[in-house]
Amino acid sequence: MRVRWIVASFVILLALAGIALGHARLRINESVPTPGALLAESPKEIKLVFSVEPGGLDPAQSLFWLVKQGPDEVIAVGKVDLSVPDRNVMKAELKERLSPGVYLVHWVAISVQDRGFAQGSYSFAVK
Amino acid sequence: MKRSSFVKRGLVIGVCFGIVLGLWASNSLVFGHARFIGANIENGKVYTVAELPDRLELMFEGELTPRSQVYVFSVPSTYLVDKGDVKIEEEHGGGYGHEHKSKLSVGLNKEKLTDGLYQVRWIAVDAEHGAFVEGGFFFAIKG
Repeated sequence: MRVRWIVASFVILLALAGIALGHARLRINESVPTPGALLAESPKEIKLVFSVEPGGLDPAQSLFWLVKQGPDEVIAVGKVDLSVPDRNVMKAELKERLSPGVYLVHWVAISVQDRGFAQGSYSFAVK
Repeated sequence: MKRSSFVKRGLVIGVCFGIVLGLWASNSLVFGHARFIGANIENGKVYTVAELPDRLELMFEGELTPRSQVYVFSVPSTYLVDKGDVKIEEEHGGGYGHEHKSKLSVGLNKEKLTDGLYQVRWIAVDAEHGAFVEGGFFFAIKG
């Protein structure tokens, strides 16, 4: 019985780890909107701030995709904000208001220094 | 009598037309989105570095936008081993949607390839509907 609980806990931990997989020194620190947010109004931008080694994110391959759930349609693609000296921010300005629904932000981050790879995703909703 | 035969014939034609229309619509839905067909590196196969192609090539049904990406990285250390030079090439079959294919490719940095496990992750954004499809597979290098 105890073994079953240990195995079950391990499986749950693995499932949770699947939310963001990859390089240990490359992780998301802050996001706008926040994961699980239920917004009354459409956000004007999607912004992800990363913890990354000096040199920042590789602008050519670090991206995020904003996907409207249901039809799974890509609404916008976020790129590294080159105006930030640390190159640790990815951003997409939304030209059009997001219609009500659930949205997925799927991100891939590559560090310039050692080509470390990390990916993850989170969701938010617009009422 | 003649009238009932006419009605029956009309019903048969209507049902056949409906079936054809339904099949056409379902094919349009299936083939309207990018669909992974295959790659020049096989899922689950063990290669030597010499056996690997210079570029990983993934084939899709449908047209892809430049929002599509592919990554190749080591597992579990997660370091990229591709060159980041992603290319999308279209192949028109000259027919309808399902004959239109796209090749998503990236160069492999062979100097970084050592014995171990590697993962391919791809994100395909289809040009027709902007649909987001992702997938991946593993291969290994030994010798």
